[in-house]
Amino acid sequence: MLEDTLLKLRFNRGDRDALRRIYEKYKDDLLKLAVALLNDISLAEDVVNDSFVSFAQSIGEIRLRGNLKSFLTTCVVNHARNVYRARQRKKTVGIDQAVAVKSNSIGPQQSAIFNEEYQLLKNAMAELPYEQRETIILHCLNGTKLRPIAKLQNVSVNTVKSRYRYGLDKLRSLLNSEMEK
Amino acid sequence: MRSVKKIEKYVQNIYTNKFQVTMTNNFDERVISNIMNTVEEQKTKMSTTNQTNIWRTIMNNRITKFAVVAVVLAALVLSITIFDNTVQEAYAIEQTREANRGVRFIHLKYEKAVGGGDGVEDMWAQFDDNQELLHLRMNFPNSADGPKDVVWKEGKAEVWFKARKKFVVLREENMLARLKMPYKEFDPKLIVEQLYQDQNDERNQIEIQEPRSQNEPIIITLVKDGSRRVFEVDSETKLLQQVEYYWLKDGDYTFSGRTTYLDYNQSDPDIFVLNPPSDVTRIDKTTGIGLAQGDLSDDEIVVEVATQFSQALIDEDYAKAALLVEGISADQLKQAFYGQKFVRFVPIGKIVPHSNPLTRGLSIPCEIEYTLNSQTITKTGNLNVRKVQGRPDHWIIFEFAD
Repeated sequence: MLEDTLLKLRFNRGDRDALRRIYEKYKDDLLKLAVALLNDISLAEDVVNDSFVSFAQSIGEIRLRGNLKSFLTTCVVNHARNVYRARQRKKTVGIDQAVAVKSNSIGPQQSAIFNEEYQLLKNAMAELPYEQRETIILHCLNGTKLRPIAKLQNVSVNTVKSRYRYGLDKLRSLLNSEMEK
Repeated sequence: MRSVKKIEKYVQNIYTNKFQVTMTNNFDERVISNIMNTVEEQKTKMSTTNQTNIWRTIMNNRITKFAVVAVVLAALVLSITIFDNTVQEAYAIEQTREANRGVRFIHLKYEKAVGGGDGVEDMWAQFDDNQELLHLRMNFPNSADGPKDVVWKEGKAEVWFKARKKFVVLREENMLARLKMPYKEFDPKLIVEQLYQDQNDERNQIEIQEPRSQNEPIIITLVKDGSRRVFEVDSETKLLQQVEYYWLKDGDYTFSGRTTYLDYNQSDPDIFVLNPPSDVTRIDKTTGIGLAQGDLSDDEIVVEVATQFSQALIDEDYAKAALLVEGISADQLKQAFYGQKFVRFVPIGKIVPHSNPLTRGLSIPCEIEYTLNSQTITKTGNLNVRKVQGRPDHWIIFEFAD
């Protein structure tokens, strides 16, 4: 609380050390969020990098108010969504590019860091529409309440509630069938 | 079968306990380098954009437009000249780069097309033998703070707010860096270095007009990124005399400003001494901040700084608290903690060196209790304390860490 308040003051005055400290403080959580959203470490790293570069572009220019973590989370979620959409467009280009697209997904070296249970969850999450996945990840991983998620996704709270419920329903059926195998 | 509620708990549990991400090597370095470069670019861009916007606003005036047309026509007429190229050796920008290496003092003036504006009008700079900035004075006749003169020397900035009748002395690195920023736009060395690079970029158009006689300057015209700059170089000394700036608007180049370099190497040390009258209030922020160490050990002074700071917050004495924190004013502290009432602030652990040794700080773990909206909140964190820069017998808080 104290730290963020002063970091915001310093950021607003164009203090680079504050920017560095903000990065140090939130990089791990934001990287986790980006990896969960995109299932790809290198893309997630790009998203976190691009989010902080955008953030740095506003140093001394914008008056940063409100919750610092929420602000950065919004940056990462928006960048991740753009990357996801770009990747989807790329996927629809042609069959011959399918291999290249697939190679974008998590590799053996990277997958070693994930727990087996997480692998099951990740595979099930990949089956969900992106909006439902984003809602579940923001709520369950990041602890974001549904109302701020609605604001972030620019939809009503009821829509977010539906996305969350339908998403969990689908996860339940996917995970149950997976467990039965 | 798992219920939805169980699935929710299951997902939360996996994300909390079984999901670890390891970043690739050098990721931190890459991101930090990118964001620091972005901040640098952004600061340069901001100063250019501000200049453009101000002149766009000014050029909405009809009279100004006519004046600009007149200037452009005059420039066109002057450029249609037949030169005698048989007498002098052809000029090259490298000659001005070389001449700049001997510059130790400079006075320049910046004029905007119409009216005053909020920028620098007069500027004096002195350099050491390595061409590093030694002293700097900038006069801002129409800044947002009213007229003010700024002198930067010996790691301190002195600012004389003439209308407010205040004279402030600062020692804070970021503040100093910002005060030096405007100078970079006018530094003849940086301008000529940029010009030297611009001439090798095929996207730019550059034209050099040799003078007809020794009394006339060399004229260099650069067209780049929707702007035109006309440089006048002294044909004898090869030093920059003047730069005129034009911005492309509705297909025409409109005059936006002119920098005139008046005195090269005419050193005047008195120019870097501000002499405000006696009725001006003096605020020296370089001597009042921090807490004197006296006979206390490093650990003891850290506890003392933390204790006095916390007591000041509990007493809502923000003026005192601000003297114990780097670069934060009393008003900013008051605003930052608005609505919060500090109750308790207790050191709870051993003092350890700061995790980043470059800060040369010590960290003291604390427990903080405060009320907000009638709720009592207790948090733990670290207060990070170090010696005041340039005042090593005083200690100050430079960071909080949750």
